[in-house]
Amino acid sequence: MTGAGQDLGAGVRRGRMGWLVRQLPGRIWRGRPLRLLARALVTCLLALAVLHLVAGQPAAPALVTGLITWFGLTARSDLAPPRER
Amino acid sequence: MSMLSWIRRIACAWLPRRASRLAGWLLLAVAAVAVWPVAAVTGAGCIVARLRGWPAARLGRQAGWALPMGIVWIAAESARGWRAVALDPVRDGGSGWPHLTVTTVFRTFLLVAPVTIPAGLALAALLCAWRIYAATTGTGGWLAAALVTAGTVPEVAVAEAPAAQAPVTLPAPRRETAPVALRREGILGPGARR
Repeated sequence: MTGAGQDLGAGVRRGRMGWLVRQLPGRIWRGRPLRLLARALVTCLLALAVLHLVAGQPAAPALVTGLITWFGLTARSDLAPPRER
Repeated sequence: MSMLSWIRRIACAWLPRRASRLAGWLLLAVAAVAVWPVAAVTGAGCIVARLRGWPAARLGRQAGWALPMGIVWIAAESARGWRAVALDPVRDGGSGWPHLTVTTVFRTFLLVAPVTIPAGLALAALLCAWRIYAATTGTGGWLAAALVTAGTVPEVAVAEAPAAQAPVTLPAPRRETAPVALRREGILGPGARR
């Protein structure tokens, strides 16, 4: 791929990402915000418990990463579908 | 043959088979206890997949999503030195044994969870895939898939026949005893007893 093509592809990806980020508050509001909030609270509490139980161990950041991944994967079901452009 | 020799012969044939099978299961149980965090994740994954009807691929995807956790753990461990990456899971896994309480067991599980969760889920995916294969082929999974026997062909013809078409009449199964068939093949002579 040429340099101009790569720039165009990166620009399209950036534009789509920006569009998704701009849509996020609306999708949260139109989705299930309370459930999302409860999920976020549970994730935070579990992360705090992990940090308390295995403080200073290499497992602590890894488990927090796992919790964040779990939140990112499961929170999508609480969002409304994005509006078409 | 006396009763005692018959019992001895049966025992000689039966006991070693049973004993080897029992030894295999015991070995598996000991291995599962030794690596109990992996066994726990694998068991939980298999049970959840069975209850919710997940395919094995879904468990594999979950294992893939758990990999970032393992990567972060390896990165954090490598800061302590590469020797720690290899030895810490063993040391952490064995740390809970001397003081066996719920807290220590839970803490031990958390210490090795970044490695055991992806590994256990991947193992559960393999086990589920094997179970589905074994159930599909009906051979227990150890042997090659069974050949289609001649007896199933008429049923296949009925199943594939269109509804508007006249029903397919099944050919009556030809029953013949083994000596008759062997005689027809010329293996046994006409005077052979049934």
